[in-house]
Amino acid sequence: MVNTYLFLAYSLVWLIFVAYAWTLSRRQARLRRELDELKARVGRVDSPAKR
Amino acid sequence: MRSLNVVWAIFVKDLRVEWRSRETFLPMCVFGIVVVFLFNFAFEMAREETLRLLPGLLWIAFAFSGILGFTRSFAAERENACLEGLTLAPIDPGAIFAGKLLANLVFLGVTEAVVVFAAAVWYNFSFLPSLGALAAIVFFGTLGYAALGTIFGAIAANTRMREVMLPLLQFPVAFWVLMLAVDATSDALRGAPRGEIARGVFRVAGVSVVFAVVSFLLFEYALEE
Amino acid sequence: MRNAFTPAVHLAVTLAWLIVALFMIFLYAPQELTMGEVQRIFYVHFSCAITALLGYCFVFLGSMTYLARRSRRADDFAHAAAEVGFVFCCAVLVTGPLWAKPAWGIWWTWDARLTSTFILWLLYIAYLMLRVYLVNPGRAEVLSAVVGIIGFVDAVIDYMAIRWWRTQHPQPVIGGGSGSGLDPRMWQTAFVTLGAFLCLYGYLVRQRMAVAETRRDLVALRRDIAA
Repeated sequence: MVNTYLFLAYSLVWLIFVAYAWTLSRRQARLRRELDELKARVGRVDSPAKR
Repeated sequence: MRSLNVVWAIFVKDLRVEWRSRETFLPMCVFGIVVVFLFNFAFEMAREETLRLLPGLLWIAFAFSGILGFTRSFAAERENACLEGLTLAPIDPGAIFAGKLLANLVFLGVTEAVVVFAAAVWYNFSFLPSLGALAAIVFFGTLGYAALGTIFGAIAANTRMREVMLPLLQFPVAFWVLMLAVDATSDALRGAPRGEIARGVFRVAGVSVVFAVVSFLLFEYALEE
Repeated sequence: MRNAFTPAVHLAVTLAWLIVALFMIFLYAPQELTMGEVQRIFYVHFSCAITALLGYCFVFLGSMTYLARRSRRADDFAHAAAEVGFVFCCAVLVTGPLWAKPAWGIWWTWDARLTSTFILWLLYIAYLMLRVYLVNPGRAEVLSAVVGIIGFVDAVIDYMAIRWWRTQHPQPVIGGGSGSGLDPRMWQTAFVTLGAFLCLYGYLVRQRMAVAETRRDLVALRRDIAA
């Protein structure tokens, strides 16, 4: 019975931090992707104008 | 003493606006009375319990009525772009803070008097013996609470959900002003020795003054464009 | 490379440190006499609590620096410190009751530490919600800084006031770390664990700041395009 609390505590803590780190990494990836897409689009738009 | 003129001007303006529209002050009073009324029903108190629960009840009524008032205080400014006007004018933001704080103090102060009167009648409780101490505690407690309400009202007015944002900011921070005030009020009402009451008043005053000063110093940032 | 302590290295150090800490918690530290195995929760609980406290100090420092110097990095730091600190504070509030119930029979009590921790949690929420609900992003940094500073003042008052309050209204005092006569191995384990969690905190704040920076780059690029 006592060990259940111990297990729960450590599992939940692990879960909380992993979940947070994962959302951070996903946020970063999504923002990077948008940024790169936008940069690529700007690059394409610029080139015809330069001609 | 231009700053003092500004303080007075803003104070009078808020009072005058309120006198014409009566949008803030009346709801505050009504709400305070309703809270007292609800408590009366929710806890059908015997005389002995009244003493125990009354301080908490009073300050809860004050706290919630206050929130109503602070929200309206800045909402009205935003509706007519008065806030931008105030910020652009070459006046000390601290003076704006002081003027608004004074107005909030008056509104909340009168509301508190109404609430205390209602409680005295409905609970058959006489506040007269402890009136002096009670007045001091209520004054200082309201000062700290209203100072926080003024600056948080200004901040919350910038948000999408200002009615929600203000309590969210106010209660965690004002918690200790309220708790110390409840404790001091409890001492005063049950006739504790004068030394204890005085210490209670000093505690409330100390915390309230700290918050008032911090709010005053930071208010210019709350108004920044 | 200007800085060899890259995020990857930081992560590796953090994970290694955490593994060492776990080893010490379960295999090095002795079992507590009265509470048994459950007491091992304490190491994580204590570490997260200290970190959450420090976190708000960082929010305060970041906010003050921002108001003084208007440095975007200071604002990023304050915001990151708040978000990560909030996660740690949640961990404290989760592990606390899970330790208290088997150890003392109650999930919660309004003693000094628990009350202060709960208010700290509310202060974190207030700061983060303000950021979410602000209409004009241009003012977000300044307004958040104000809230961060007032919140910190409140946290300080809180920690002082609650001690006075609890001498007036005695309640069962729960919570460890006040152990006179704690086995030295327990202290060592506690410090190692604290270090590991502080390292984790630093890593997460770094990553969060990187997200903020990327977002700003994105917004700036969008603005440039629109212009």
